Amino acid sequence: MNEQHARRIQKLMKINMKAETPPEPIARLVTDSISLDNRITGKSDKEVIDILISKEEQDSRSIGVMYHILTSIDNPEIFQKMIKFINGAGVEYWHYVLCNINMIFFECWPVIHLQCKEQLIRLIREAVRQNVKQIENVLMNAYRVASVSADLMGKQKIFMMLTRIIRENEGWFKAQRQCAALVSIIITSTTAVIASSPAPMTAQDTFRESLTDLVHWVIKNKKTDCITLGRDFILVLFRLGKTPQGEDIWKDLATNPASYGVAGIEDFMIKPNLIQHLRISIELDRKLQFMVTSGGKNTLIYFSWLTNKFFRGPDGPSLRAECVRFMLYMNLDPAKYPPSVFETRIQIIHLLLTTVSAVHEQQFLKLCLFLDWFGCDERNLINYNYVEVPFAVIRYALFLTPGPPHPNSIVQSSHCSHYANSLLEYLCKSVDTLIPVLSDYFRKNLNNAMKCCRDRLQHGFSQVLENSKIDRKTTEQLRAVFPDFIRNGGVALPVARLKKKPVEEIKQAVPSTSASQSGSSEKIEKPTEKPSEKPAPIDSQRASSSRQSTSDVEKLQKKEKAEKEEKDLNTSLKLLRGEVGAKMVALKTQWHSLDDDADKCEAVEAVLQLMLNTEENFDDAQQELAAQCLQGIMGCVVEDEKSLLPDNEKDLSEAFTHPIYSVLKFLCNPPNDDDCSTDMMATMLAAMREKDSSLTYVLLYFIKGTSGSRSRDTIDCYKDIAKMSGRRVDEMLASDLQLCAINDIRLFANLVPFVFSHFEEEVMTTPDLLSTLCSNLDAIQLRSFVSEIIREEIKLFRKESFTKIVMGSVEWATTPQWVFWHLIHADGVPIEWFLSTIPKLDFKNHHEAIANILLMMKRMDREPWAGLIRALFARVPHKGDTFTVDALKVLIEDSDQCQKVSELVAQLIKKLIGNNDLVGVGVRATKKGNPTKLTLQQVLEHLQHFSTSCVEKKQRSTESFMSRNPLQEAFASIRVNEKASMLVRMYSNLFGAMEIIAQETKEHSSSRTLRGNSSSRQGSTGDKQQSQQQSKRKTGDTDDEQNNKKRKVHKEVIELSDSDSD
Amino acid sequence: MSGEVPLNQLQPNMNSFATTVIVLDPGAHRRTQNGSILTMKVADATGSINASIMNPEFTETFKPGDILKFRGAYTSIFQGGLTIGVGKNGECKKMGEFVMVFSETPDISQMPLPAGVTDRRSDDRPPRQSAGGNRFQRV
Repeated sequence: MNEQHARRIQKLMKINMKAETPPEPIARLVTDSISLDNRITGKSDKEVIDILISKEEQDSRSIGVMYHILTSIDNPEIFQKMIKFINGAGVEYWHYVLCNINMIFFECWPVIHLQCKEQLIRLIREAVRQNVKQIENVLMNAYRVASVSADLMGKQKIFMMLTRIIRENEGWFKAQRQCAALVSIIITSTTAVIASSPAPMTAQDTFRESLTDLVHWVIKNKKTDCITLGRDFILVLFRLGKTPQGEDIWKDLATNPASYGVAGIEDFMIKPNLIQHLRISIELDRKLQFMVTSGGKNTLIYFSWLTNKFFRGPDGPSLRAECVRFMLYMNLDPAKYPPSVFETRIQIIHLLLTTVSAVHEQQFLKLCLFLDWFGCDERNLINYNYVEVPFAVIRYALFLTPGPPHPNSIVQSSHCSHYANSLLEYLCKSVDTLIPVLSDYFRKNLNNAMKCCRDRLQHGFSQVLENSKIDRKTTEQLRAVFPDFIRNGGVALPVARLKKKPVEEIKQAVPSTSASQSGSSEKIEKPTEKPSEKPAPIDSQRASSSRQSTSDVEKLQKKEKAEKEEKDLNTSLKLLRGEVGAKMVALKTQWHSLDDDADKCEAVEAVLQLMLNTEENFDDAQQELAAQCLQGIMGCVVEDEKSLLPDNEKDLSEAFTHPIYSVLKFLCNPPNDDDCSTDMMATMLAAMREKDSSLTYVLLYFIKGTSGSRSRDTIDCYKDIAKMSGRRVDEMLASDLQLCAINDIRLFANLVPFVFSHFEEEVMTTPDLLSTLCSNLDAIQLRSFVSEIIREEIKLFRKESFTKIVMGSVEWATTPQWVFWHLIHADGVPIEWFLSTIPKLDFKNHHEAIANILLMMKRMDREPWAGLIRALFARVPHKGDTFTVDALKVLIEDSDQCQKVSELVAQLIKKLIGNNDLVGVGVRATKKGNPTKLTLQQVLEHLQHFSTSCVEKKQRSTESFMSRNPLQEAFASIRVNEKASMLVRMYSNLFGAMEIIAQETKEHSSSRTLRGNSSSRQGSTGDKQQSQQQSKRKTGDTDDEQNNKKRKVHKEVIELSDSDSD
Repeated sequence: MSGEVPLNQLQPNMNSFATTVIVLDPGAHRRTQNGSILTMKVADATGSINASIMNPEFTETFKPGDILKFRGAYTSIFQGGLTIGVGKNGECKKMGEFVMVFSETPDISQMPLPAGVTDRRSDDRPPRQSAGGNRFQRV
């Protein structure tokens, strides 16, 4: 590249030619400009125009012209001359020019000088002035690219120029017929700039005001085009905040919605933004697309780079908001991309939301996230396409575990489940505060969105809303807004639909709406904490009306439910055939006239007896129908907020009076003791359970209360029902106990010991059941459960299934894990059972298990053995992982054990040398069942980590350990092994430390021998040091100086591992 | 040698190869007895490695996320690990930014060297006893 090239490139962009290769389009601009200059130098204007329009290399010539336009800021004559050439080349030549402008927007905009950008905008201005065909598309791209800039002043300058273009050509703008996209982009990008611009400090600073005026003017003159933005138009109005222009548009929208082509705000909310994909700059668009599709495990690093470039400035939060909206609408084809890509998208949205610090910006980002939920009107089915991602973000936040920050990343640990809670809280609170007059509409839409999520996600849905990490307070709020989705809805408070407010009330509501984002977003977070001084007529009226209507609504709901059940029952009764059908109808008719439970039980038993004895064609379908009819007639035994257990838990004589227990009695003790009866009752119970899933925990309660010593036999009935329902026994037990814990915590506590003592086999093999247990036990129940374990009533764990359970438990929340470890300690599980678990525990995520295993090792009452030492060293070394180091430190605390550990480590080292397992860390083993192969390098890596972390402590046990003869001999054998010479060099710090410690020990022992110290004969440095310490205690600190000197020498050696070993 | 070499195919004592990498840690310029050196951590889709630019003709450092193209690069053993070097006959230039897939692992500079390969410098002199040195060294 010659000097002329380099000079011209530097006119276009800031570049150090020695360290950077210019982007290809920039290089092309320069090459084509030189080529053009060679052709037109010395030619007349007419000849130049002829050259430009000649078909030969027309494209190249037009790019050359662009170069001169971009670089002519100091020479307006050249600019004018180029315009003259373009005009001279004719209208069609403008087409090439517009293509080139777009090319520069797409490929060069982020790197070119501000002056070049200004020149480009000047060219657009000229094109608009001349009303060049399709200039509106180029202008739209100008707004799009201008919305992102590292230089805030430059960004403001470009926006002022663009504003001036519109203002100077108002007539042209108004005359544009099909410019909905341009209108939308002007509105969204300009509003984002307004929101991120600082308040004017002087009267001369009119930047923000002029931009606000422009948005106001554009909206007013292109009202019908605003619908293109859909619900994002409402977001724009929130962004405009409490400005007079913003309020004017709110009023206009409320009083004259027809002029916008809509009937009201709802019509905006119902529609998605049609040009969401154009709302961010091309550069940002490409980088986000790349991150989503290729970011993978490096997403955090890419995000930190993205943040450094785009989100650090004052416009960072508004750019984040734009990115969130963009990401939600990103079109990802499931056939083309793997599921990980969809996960990455969720992760990026979560990062965009959680890494912003200002509270009001957080609130606005949450609104951006959930805007599509607020607009999820069932009349427009396309709305359902946008509700899953926000829910996935909640789920992602809920299950995220905080990890240490990545060294290359600016992203710090996330809020995790707290953030998930805050998102749900935001949803619940803003339903009434976002636009108060639309709260009913929003509530309905939110429920639509939630229903859609439930239908699509099924199990994933309940994992979120029924998760133990959701606070009780949040659950209550959710129950009020989403009564159909939160179980045990005792306080479900659906607000009755209010009549539409007149226009005046809408006007009153508008300021509070706009306030939700203009720096006072706390209002959304705490709507009830700060009542306004002046009584708010709409809100108070609404509140009282809501209170009055609550009981009515509840009654109405109950009535509707009863009617539906009655209808279902009648339908089922009609389908029942023969004598059983007739008897069932009779039962239903007389049911309410029966005096007490005893009569009802008698009647039910009579029907059951008939069913068992009938010789008619009473097949499975009829049995199921009969069961459901019976259930419909009897009703449910479980009542809200009332335990099935009597107050005196020991006296169950009066506990089983409900007619449902007659059915359970027939199941457990069929009068005709044959297989046919048992099968029939099991089929019926399975059918009943489909309608009322609480029935099976009621059965457990019944078995426990009535079967006595026979309970082990009757448990089979429960297993039969599980089989009939197509579920595994452990699965059904887990769900039954979970439901019981929610509905009736007293009964849960009562049932748990019974279940764990009677379902031993199933319980042992499933972590699910233990998870249910550990998530729901309170302190008293835990104490009682531990007590049962100690008394050997319950034996919880078995060796063969233990590893599976522990590895399952590490995924639980912290509190259930604590409970789990209490149970492990109570059960007296020996440390040997953890050998296969130790290498698998992840130091970043499995904190609870790691801490507890260390404590178990500290309390271990046996000598260390080879298997334990091998398991510890089998952990893949990592600088943040101190588990192996800590475990070694625990093991060598006792001086007798220290000798044993040194022998075991030495044996291991020699064995690895013998097997030639020398090099590699975390090497995959070929042997099945053993994921990694232990190598000498891995052992040395751990020992190096150990030596750097544990020396110079009060007990000096590490030094004692390292000085032991077996270990010293093992290290000597490594040194003499030629194949391990590379390891000796690699771990030179460790080997150096071993040498120095050995030397130090020798010196000690020889000096003691000279002084006739008998303890030196014991040959144990640790003991020597202990006696040294004892004598030191006696003689005071006389040896301090000497010790300090030694420590200093030693410290230098240890520090080597942190330093350059070269 | 012509064509681009992925990082995981680098061997000790390779010369005059080209490779494209992304900057993970831009490092810093350091003065040495013979001039200056810019050390950094770079990666491509196959792994990461330490890189040293000897006597660079520029004083600023690259940014994390910059995509660099090395031409005329060589490999050497530095502090017991494989390192890419770019000397006076080589070239290191920024080609773009951000949009490149990379993998931090394996860290090729931390991987054990093949049998028989040694750091010539470490053979000549004993291990250094002072702090400082390679900022990427694992503890």
